[in-house]
Amino acid sequence: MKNSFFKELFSFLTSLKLTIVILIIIATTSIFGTIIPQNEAPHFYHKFYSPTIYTIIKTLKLDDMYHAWWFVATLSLFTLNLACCTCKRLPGFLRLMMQKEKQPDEKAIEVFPLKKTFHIKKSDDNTSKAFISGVQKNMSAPVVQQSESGAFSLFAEKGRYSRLSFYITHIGIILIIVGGILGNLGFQGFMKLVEGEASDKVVLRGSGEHIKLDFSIRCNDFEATYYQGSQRPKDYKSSLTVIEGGQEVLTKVIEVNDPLQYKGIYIYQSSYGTATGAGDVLLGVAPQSEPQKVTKYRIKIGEQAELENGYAVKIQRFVPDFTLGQNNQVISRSEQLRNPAVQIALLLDGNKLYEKWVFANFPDFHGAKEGAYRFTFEAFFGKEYTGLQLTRDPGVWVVWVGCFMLTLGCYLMFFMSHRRLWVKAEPEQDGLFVTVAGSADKHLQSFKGVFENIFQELKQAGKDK
Amino acid sequence: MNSSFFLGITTIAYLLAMALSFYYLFFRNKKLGFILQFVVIAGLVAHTAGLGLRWYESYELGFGHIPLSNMYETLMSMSWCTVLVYFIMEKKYKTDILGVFIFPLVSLAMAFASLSPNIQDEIEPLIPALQSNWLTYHVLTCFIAYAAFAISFGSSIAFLMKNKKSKQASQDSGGVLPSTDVLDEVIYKANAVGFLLLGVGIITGAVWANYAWGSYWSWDPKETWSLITWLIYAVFLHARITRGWRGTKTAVLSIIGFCGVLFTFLGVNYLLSGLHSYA
Repeated sequence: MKNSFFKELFSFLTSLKLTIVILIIIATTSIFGTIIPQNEAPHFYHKFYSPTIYTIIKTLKLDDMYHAWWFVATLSLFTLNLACCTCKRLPGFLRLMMQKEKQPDEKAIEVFPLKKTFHIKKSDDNTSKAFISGVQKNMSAPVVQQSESGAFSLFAEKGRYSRLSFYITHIGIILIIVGGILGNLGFQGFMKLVEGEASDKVVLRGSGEHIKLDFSIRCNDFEATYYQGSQRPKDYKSSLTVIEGGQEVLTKVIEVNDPLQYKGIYIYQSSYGTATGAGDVLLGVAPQSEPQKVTKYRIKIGEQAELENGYAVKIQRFVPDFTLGQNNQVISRSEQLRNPAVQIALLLDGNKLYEKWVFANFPDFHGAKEGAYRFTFEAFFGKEYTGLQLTRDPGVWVVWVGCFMLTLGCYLMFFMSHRRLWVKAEPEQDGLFVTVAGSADKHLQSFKGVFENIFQELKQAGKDK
Repeated sequence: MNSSFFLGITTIAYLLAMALSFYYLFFRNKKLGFILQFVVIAGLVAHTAGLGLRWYESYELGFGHIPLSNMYETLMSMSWCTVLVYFIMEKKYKTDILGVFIFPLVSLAMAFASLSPNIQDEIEPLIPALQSNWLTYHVLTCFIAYAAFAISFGSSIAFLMKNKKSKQASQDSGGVLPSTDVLDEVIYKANAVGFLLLGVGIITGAVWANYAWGSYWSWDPKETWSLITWLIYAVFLHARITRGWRGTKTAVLSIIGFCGVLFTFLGVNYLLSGLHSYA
């Protein structure tokens, strides 16, 4: 009773129907994750979906569906299915691999799908040699069996290893999944470094938690270059130094497509921007009556400069990419210097007269012409920060081995086959009666041509005698 | 004469090849077959010259990159792969009539690339993420896979037509198409080649993503759709090899698979958003 239950379970787990059903389920459910944006904040979904749909999304975890329990369960069942199929086929496969060069018995040859015969008038010792060389051109060196009566047989094969294709492919896929699971032992995180600063803190992706590395990274310099005369980025480069135990261990300039690797952790160039908290603003100040008479002041963000007659100007705020957000408050659209602006305040004897925004790209913005002074945003001397992605993935090599096996296995599966050829020559009254038989485990159609060539060659070899 | 000139000629040649293929389908004669053959070769030569010249022009401009960097270039290169694979298959299996399915696809892709207002045909320098040798390996393997799937798609439609015709046992265009056995073989071979190369394409993409972004798989829509497509063809191969499905059922599966290819290649870019925003 118990036994038959396990038998049934095993046959369910090894059935191809199950494989096909799982593949279809994975393929169709995956579509949801490409249509519904993944891992966004709740308000994002509220904006685009009705409350009912949002409840469905939340219940089925469609906002992070590739990690949802039901998707992971499907993948697990798929892996189990693969593993069971591999196990099921193992005994037969081992039997085949064990029988080294052993020639199949007559019964097996009976059912070889390709079979042709011919007759040779005269034969001598050279006939078998000619046959051997004829077979060898297309197959392995044949195993020859000779009997005293003058009868002989040849057995040759090719591509026995291609029978491995099933295992190589499917074990490859299992390895990819195992490697993916091992990857969870590593981490993926982010680090923001202002030029000149060093840090060992990584903000983890997803959870937002911090972890400490056992070394720290210093950003010596960041540089973004653009193609001439355009906004199109050419390169983002960060010069990084790894510091461990107070010692500088190594320095490397990283860029997109060229990360730094240290102690199994890869450090990638990911983003960049202008550090907004610190820096100097070069402010041009001219009396409204004499706009040509510009005096330039270099002022730190948050500090002020004294003008004449008790006036002073304070840099209240700096944004690299000015825009108005909801409720018209000022925000920075990005962290790149696309529309740099400063908010200044004009003070008289320490009392704020007014404050206003001054734009580097729009010096004649209407507000500029009001008030006692005319301000221009001449330049910004700030620091840039580099955004680094840090990854440690102990499973990645398992994944690559799996990928290699999958590719190799598919190649063997589709383009190679195990071909077997058997030639039997029996003496007749005046010569030899020759039977040529062949089989292939796959792609019999393409072996037919080769078989025909071999047959003709042997026939010719017999005639030449 | 610049690359646009040659690519323009190519589009015209393929449109002509399409017309001739249809004509050939109904009035099969040797002379017509010869002219069709000539037009296809002329188109392929002009196409190769156009792409080669564009590559050269990009060096002249100081950028120097293989023409695979934006939608215009990918459509042009993709079409080239498709015609090349068609040409090879045609020589091997004598299935010239499949041009009826291939040339409309290819002409449409090329005309769309040239005429769509949303597609820039200027040569642009590569953004940092694309500055890698993996670009060539990844895109070319994917494109040859797509081309093989296009061939199998054409063969599948031909198979269904032929099957219907032979049931009616009539003596018309169905008779010009290759036999169902040949078509079935072409569908299988093309899908096997496509499956292997799409697999390699996904893997090279993963290796590249791991090198550029530190993650080999992030369930990005493009990645996910390429996986979906690959799985559809995996179903096809299991059904055919292990379960011995033949004919109509597998032809329908190939057609579904090709819908997946089209969505992966175009649909994702125009309907969904993600990391893979270049083409």
